Amino acid sequence: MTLPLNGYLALALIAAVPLAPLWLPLLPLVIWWWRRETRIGRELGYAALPRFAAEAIAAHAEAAFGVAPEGGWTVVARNVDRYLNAVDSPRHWRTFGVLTILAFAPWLRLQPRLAALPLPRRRRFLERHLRTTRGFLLVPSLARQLVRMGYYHDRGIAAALGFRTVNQRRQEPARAAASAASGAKVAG
Amino acid sequence: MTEELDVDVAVVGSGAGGSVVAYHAARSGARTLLLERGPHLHPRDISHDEPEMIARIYKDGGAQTNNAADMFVLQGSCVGGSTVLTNGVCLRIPEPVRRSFAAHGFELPADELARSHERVESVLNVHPLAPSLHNPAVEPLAEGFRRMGHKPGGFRKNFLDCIGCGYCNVGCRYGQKLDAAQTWVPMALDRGAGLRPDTAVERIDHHRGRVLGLLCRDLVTGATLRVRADRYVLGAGAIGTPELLLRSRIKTDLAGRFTSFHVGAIVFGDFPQPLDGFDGDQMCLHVFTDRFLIEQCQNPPVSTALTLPGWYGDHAQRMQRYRHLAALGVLVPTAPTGRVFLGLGHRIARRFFDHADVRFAASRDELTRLAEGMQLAGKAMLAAGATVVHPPLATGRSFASARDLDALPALVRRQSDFVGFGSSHPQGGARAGADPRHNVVGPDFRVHGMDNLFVADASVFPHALGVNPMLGIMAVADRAARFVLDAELPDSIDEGPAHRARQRLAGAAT
Repeated sequence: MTLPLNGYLALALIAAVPLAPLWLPLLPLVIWWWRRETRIGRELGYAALPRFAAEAIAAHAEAAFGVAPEGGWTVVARNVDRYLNAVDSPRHWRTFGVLTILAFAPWLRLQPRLAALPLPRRRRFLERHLRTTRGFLLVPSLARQLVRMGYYHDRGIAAALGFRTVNQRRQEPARAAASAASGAKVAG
Repeated sequence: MTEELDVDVAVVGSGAGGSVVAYHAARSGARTLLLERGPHLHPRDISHDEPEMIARIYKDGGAQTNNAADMFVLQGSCVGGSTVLTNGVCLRIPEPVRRSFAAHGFELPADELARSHERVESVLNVHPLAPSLHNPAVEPLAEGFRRMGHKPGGFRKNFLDCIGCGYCNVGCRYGQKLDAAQTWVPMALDRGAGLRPDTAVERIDHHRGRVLGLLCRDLVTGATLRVRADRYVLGAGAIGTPELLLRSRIKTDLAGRFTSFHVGAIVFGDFPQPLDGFDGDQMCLHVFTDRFLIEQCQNPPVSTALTLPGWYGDHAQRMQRYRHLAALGVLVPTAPTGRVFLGLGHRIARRFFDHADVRFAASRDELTRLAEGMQLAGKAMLAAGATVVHPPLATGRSFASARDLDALPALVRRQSDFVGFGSSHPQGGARAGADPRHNVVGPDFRVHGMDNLFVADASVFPHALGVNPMLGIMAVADRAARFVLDAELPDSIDEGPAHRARQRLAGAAT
């Protein structure tokens, strides 16, 4: 079944209505938990991410990439945090919804949350269940783009790929000579 | 407290359309105010930090999608709009498109459009991209296309003294890409126009076919601003303009309809030798056919990772080949079947859904054309020596021979079969045409049924241009300025950074 992203969120809400007697009493607890996770996130230095989301991003990165950034996997979460903190968008809350679903998606398979899964099982979970561009699991799979952004933004990782920054390129002798000879190109 | 401003011309949006009209208005002596939702970034504020720049200058941090979340719609949200994010490609509105617009009732006389193109090109310093700026992947790709019987072409761009850093899509930190933020906007400010960045226009107040004012919100302070003007011009783009019309209950039966795109995705080729495609201009070569367009699009690491197909381990392995990857974007102009609308969420929970929704699903024919373009791109890369090509398929499947690529169209049935499927060129949504029953805007750019409200951006296009639209939008906005101001425009514009550079060079020569 293919639905719009908002459709899945609406469906989740509708599904939650008959279960209201169960979760409504828990709602204050959930709000308390979310605030606590956000506060702990702040204490850990995250401006936008609650702790569980940062842990999910780091855990996802560890399972998806072989080589850790020099500062460890939390670097990926910190890069994502900087991005999210800079975004100003009315759709922003959806990103946090996606990250929450990612963090707890293994519960749907009666497994511990993503960050608590041992690495081989985590890798298996991602490969088996989040390799999709359709259906409900599209939602957590969207988080892979955030994780990729956070990982490849690391300077050491980019350098290991062979990428050279503009300053590094400018220091190459042939480039420096060509640059000195260049000037404005004007039409007309 | 509500701040009140009275001007002659109020322009909403500072991108390719709004900035041009604002300049002409200010030049004519009209008290002009330019309102922009995004921030005003100077080149010194722009960095090569991809995530931060994507967050700051792309609408929704680059995460604007259609309703089904299977298509990205990339737009700029800063002073200069999407012109800040382009690769500087400047292509005129093709003659068949001009004729097709005319047949629809949106007349752009050939000689006047040519003059508009020339005026804009002069301000933007449009000229052929110097071969010294080409990235190293250009030669093998060009050779591959030649072997496939196609003649690849180069691009004309709006650069001044470009160094080929390869970061065009996050804005030019050197100030050498002559986008609207470097040309029309400062030129308008020099002529006395006012600029209000970080200001969202929430509603157009109108009564009996006449706009009375704009209700705006300062996104930094939260303060309310009311703008009154004689004439109002919408240049908020193909999504922002219909959204504002819908919010204001103007032409609600037609606003947002007939939206079209250039949809596309990127094919990667893995070459045995390192290409270092990041080292130079990102987009140097194109092949245009009547079915699709192919444009080179090399990217820095983050943007490459976001567009490279493959899941988990496969994706990581492919990224290890970063230096060896060449990238070709395939674009297909779509029929105007998309729609911008205010969804149910906007009505019942505006706090969470305070945005327009976009509905679009590519037709089978459009997907087939996209697959054909990918086939050609893949075959050209294989002919040039690539050992394997990675089309943007959700399955992550790669192809190592031209024969295997023949199966590609059969693998594509819906847009969710792609990864990285999207568009950076939304058009239409406030279609121009003579008949008020079927069009939002008249051929004089005035909203049908409104006395003093004009639209001057890509939303007036009856269908997609079929080429990168920045120059075309500016040329059309240049024409729109004539109607807004009810005055002839100057033959030439002797100001701006390109003009100053020409003067400097002329002075040095004498």
